[in-house]
Amino acid sequence: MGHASMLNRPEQDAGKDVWNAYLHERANIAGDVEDLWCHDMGCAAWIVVRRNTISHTIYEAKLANEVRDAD
Amino acid sequence: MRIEGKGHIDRAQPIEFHFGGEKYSGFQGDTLASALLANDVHLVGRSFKYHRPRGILTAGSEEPNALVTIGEGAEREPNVRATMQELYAGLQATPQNAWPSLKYDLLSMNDALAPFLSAGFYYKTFMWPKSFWEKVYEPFIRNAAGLGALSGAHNPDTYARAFAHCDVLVIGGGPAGLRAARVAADAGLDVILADEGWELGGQLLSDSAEIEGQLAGDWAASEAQALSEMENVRVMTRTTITGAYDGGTFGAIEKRGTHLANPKGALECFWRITSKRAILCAGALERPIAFTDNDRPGIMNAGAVKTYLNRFGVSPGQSIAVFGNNDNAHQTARELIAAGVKVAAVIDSRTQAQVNVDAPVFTGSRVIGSKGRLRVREIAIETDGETRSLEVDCLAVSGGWNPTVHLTCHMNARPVWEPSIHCFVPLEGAVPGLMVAGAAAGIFSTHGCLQSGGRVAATVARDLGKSPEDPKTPHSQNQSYGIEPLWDAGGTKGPWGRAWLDFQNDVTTKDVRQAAKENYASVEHMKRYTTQGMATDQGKNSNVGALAILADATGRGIPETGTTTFRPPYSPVAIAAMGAGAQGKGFAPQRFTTSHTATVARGAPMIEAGLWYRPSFYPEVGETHWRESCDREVNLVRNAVGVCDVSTLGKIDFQGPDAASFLDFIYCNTFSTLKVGKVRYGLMLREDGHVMDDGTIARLGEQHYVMTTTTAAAGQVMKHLEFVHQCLRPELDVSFISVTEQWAQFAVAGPQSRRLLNTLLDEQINDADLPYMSCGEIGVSGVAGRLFRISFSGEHAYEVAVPARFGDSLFRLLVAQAEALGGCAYGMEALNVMRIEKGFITHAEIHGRTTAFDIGMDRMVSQKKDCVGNTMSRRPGLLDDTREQLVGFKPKGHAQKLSAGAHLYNDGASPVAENDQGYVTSVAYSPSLETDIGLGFLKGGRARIGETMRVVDALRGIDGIVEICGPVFLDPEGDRLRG
Repeated sequence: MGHASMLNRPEQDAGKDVWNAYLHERANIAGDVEDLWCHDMGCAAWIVVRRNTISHTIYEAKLANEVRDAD
Repeated sequence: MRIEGKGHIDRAQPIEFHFGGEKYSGFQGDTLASALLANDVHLVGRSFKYHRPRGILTAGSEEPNALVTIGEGAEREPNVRATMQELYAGLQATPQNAWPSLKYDLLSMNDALAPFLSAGFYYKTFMWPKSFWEKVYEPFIRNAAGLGALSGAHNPDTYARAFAHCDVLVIGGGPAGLRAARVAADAGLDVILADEGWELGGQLLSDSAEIEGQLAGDWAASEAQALSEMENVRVMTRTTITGAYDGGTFGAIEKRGTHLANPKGALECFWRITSKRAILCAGALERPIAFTDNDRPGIMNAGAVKTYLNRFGVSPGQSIAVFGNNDNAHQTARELIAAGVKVAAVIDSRTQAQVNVDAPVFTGSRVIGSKGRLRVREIAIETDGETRSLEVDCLAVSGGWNPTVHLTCHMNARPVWEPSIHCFVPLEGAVPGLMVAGAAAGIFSTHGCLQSGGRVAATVARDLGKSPEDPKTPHSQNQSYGIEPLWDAGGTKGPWGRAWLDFQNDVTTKDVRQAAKENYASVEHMKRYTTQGMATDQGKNSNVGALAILADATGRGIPETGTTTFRPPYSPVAIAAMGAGAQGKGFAPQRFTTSHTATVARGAPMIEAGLWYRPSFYPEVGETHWRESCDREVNLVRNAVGVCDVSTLGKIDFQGPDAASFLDFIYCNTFSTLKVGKVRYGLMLREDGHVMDDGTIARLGEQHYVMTTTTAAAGQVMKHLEFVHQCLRPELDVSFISVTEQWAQFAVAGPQSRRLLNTLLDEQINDADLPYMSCGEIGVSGVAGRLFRISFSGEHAYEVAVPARFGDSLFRLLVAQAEALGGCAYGMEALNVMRIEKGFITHAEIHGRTTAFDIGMDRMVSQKKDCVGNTMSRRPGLLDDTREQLVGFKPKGHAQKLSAGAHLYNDGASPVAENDQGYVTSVAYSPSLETDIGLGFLKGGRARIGETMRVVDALRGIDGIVEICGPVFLDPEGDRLRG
């Protein structure tokens, strides 16, 4: 699903620039990223995965709802 | 010819086989290639472009020339390497790319045209005129150029997939691999040793060298035996590791039945092997030297000649010359002489070479040409400034060795040029967890390979927490190599002086130089312009030579020129093996409704809806066209009653104190205000404001809802719900689960629907208790179920749901009762007609680009609350009056057909893209209105009702006139629904 920034949904009245950035603007990073993954054919969990797009190394994976709760 | 006393073949077991219609004989332990050479057959194929005669070049999986079709009929297998095909009794092999025969190939006229067919010829010539491409040029090229053909029949062979795990995967079972596997296994690690051959040993099988006082092949056999007896070792022969992937995963193809006359079980198995560490011991591949006419049958790699001699007891000729730029080539000459074969000359390009061979020796000399139509008969040698010719029937060539670095490049690394041995070696750490040993690391002596295999394995064992003893390297020779580069030995100048690099694709040194001249100077551009390295051997024999020529032509060094990218698979893998189990019916899972058996028994043709199978219509005796059945079903629903299985709609059950709040956030309209026992239509948006899906939501209790989704979007919606709950609203206390499979649900529609249901319900229903858009718990013939008064047909209708185990019997009961009331079961065609008549949308309309505004439902987007898509749906661009809006169409004037996909233009405007006004999404013949009707989108359509438009479907040749109308054709007031 792309960047874990999808977790940070703006308020309804945040304005079109904020909403546009939330929905459409993603950095295409060669290096460390935080992704949102879905365990689609399994337990249906959404996971925040910290990984490297060059080496494919996975540093850490957390359940998305726990990341949200910690915010 | 066979050499007595040599080889690992079983002379007690002669085997008969056929090649090109001729009968030959070989032995158990032969490959097709070795058996053909034993019968003095060199000519085995024709090249791709010029149809030049081609002979066996190598003795391994890198073979570019000896590609044959094995077997006949549906089971035949094209493009099999004769060098890898084990001989079995009755084997039928057919040469490829030659017509009418190998010896007289008519398309070899291409060769006569060669001066005009150089690199880029197709690009330059076949570009003009443009209209000729599809009809003239492409069919011609496709006919002329080709390898083996598929049978065109369904493949009857079976394939398998499997998984394996280990501590150490050793790739290749030559000296380094055998040693590495042994040391790792002795240290107590779980080892998989994979080799593409059927016998472990690799180069040792081709050597007459000694290890620990034993013949190399015998030492290999005893090591292989010892390994196979160890419990922590799995030896996988006939298994090629084809790719290196993330996390220590490797792909592998195991040939299980291709060596048998009557294979049982899976022919090939595709493995995924996950290992903690891997040791690449894939050896090295010999490279040819380019010189004029170096492509004649009988001109072979020197190492291959040695392999045929030592492993198969075959001499590929009676008078053989050896040409090389390194000491390794001399060994071939020495062994041929020891076996009693005449070596006509040893030609070494190095002036200072020490050639210790009992044959005429030419140092500082080169082979610069050859003669012989279907087999080499004479070679030209340039020595001391003069040219001599020499009669030979085989030439063994060695241009040096290239480490088999391929797997180390599968995760993006490039190999490194090693100037001391003039080849690319693997980049250290190229694949995490993978180390390289032996010839694959650029170590070209037997002793060196054994030593490096043992040392690398010991390192790996220590990494994995074991304490291996210091490995003692078995005693063997340390052969010298002493290579000096020689890429292009030269030869005849002019249009006929062609020195081959890629034998299969007919790429010559001239083509590479021409590419450079035309500024295709990057190695990747050169490759694509000349097709160098794009044959089935993927340049294993020719890439390094070609880029050396390119480096020379561009004045750059080889390291600067670089290599093209090696990608998986290392050698070809049958798609059937990777997709094992997914042929025919296994291609995708099948989902059947509980009414499937009864429906099929009624002769209903089934159509796929996602993974589901649903009936198109239920034919009656005497009906010959689907429209007859469909029209009848529509009429019976509209006038009596019909039954339709709607279980495929996604059904999701929500429970919890925050279920209402969650649904309010999911849907653009409000569900917290829905009363218990009521049903409401819901529209779901994507966050970007476009429509995702629609459906009905029933409130069964204060904290209990059931949602339906469309059949098509059920999976997508479920994932979306999980995303919203886990990622956006984790604080909401709600649980939900798909119950699509748990409930069988049937639509009962038509004026007689209540009467029908009342024959089956434990308690009678009436309109006051169960008005339109309400729901409740019911008993159906004693079974606890649910009843929803909803309608997708526009009729007075219900959907009745029971636990799935009662679905089959309830369906049969409902249909029997419907028929008793003059009704019927109805299928997707009738369902579709009735929803179009009512202007109900499906994913034909909510196709991802439409908004609530476009379908006339923007007022449903509540302004009182936030929901997914709320903010973005109010972007000005999504509320523009000129947007394409949902409308209906009726053909105007004489009877015309409408078609979905047709586009709309203003009456009189020419049907070109600039004039496009909209398009038709759904059409049907309405038996109720006795005309075609359609739904679709028209720019500013809601304000254009009554206008006349031109409708054009260029694909189906339809050009007509339609009248724009509202999207609801039947009963716009909804009296029938509520009645």
